[in-house]
Amino acid sequence: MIKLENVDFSYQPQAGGIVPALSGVNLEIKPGEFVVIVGHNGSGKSTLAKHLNVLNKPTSGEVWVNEMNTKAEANLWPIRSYVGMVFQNPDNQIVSTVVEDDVAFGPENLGVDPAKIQKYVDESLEIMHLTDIRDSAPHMLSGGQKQRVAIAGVLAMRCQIIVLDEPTALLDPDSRREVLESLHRINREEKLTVVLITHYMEEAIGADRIVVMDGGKVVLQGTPREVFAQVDKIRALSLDVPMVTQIAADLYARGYDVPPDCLSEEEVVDAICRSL
Amino acid sequence: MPIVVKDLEHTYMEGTPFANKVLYGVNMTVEDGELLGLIGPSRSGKSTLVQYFNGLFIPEKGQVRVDSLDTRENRKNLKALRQKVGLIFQYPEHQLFAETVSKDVGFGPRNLGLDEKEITRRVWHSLEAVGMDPKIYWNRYTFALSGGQKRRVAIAGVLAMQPKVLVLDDPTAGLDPKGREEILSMVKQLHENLRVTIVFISNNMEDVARLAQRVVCLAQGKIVMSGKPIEVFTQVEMLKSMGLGVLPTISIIQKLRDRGLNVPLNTLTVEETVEALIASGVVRRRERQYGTF
Repeated sequence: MIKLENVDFSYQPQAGGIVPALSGVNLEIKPGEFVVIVGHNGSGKSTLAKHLNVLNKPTSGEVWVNEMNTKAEANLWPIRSYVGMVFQNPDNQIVSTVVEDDVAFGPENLGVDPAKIQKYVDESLEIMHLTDIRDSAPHMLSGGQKQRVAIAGVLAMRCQIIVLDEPTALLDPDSRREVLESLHRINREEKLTVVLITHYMEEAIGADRIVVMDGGKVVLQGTPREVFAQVDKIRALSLDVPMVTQIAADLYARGYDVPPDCLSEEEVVDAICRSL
Repeated sequence: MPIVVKDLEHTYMEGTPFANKVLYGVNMTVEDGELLGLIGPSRSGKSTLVQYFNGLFIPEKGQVRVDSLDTRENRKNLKALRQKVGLIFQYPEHQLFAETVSKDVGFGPRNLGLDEKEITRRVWHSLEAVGMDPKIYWNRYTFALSGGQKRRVAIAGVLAMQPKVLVLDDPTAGLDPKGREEILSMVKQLHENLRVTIVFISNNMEDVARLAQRVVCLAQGKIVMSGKPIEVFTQVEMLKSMGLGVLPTISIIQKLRDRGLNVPLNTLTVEETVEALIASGVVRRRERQYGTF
């Protein structure tokens, strides 16, 4: 589990003084949770994510990962093998010329026994439905496949938590769906804790919890239903509400018998049919 | 200045064991002044196709005519073609290289050998056209801009060449909702104010539904659909089979119709759909209250 206590963080560019990127962030992420973090550009969500595996350390406040403080130098590698990270651009994080070698790169660097590496890699490829293309060259794969390779790499390190910073931003709708489905699968079946940063509100619908960031602060959090019901607030933060919820909320606002917090097409359709 | 594509085929790495055919006889026309959305699953050949529009690719098989000139017969005069058709790649902000905004936007016109006065005029107007106030941004460092701003500066750089046709490859990819909104309204403004022909590739069906006058869908290297947005986006089965996803607005109405309700399937945006639901009388005014909303 992860715990952030009163975290402040500032970037210090050479010119122009201190820019606070996070201020007073308190957040707890429980084992097995699927948490989505949303917020417009510059809201601090990537900065926050980088605190979860010590790419950033708080300027003040504490970050605890599995009861290890990220400030202690000795905790660096234990934390990084506990929390894996996947970034936006798959091309920047693939190092090998063969898919299975790439998946093995993480555990090899952790000094895992080679027999075990083989086992971990086989299992990870299986979980991510990549076994068929284990011998392929990563640069010949689609964006969605490449991101699944990156996720398999995290699984092969036997991380307990996976943090993904806009992993679908560069993907087409089909690949996005593919990646999102696999994240829900590893959350459900492998009990991995997932922290997903995204701009796509549709991707937040299936989460256990949504955390909304603005100006380096957590401004709103709750279940998708609780969060998306606050259509006006979400829009004021320059974020979108899923199209389905917009329809329901607009109908509700105009006095019609549809719950304003619908998250799926079926809910809207059912509500309309029920009202007749 | 229409673009006419006839029986166009394209194979990457032809004659090698890695040969990969991506276009299988494409036929299409881009009409003068239209705002055309090009959709299709990944690897359907969208980005390959548009590179034929400004002569980055010259047809080996098939024909591409821009402004009635055959690009194959005008290999020596591609410079003029590239000025007429401005191509903006995915993530154009990666192509910014100059120190300041005005230097970057002025790079193209300067290469044309124009005088400084004309360069300044073009840079000024291009920045205005993309919604970047030249008074504010003229001497700003390009690297200090936000992602959405960088992208608009890159687009201004192409506009400064005064193209008649603007081709944008997925202009909203990777932007947050606000940045996306800015780019979309900018594209709309460019079309309305500068009267340029615009072709834009998009993976976001909501964006296409909002902007495009006509939608062309490419799949497995062929044009499979072409028509008004409403005509294309109501081909639910077809879109699903290509993995393109169906707009929730269309999908909800379709589901209501499947349950026997009489709602017209002719709306794309949330606003239109809400109006249609109300007008067709399938939603009732509420009496009971839901919680604290």
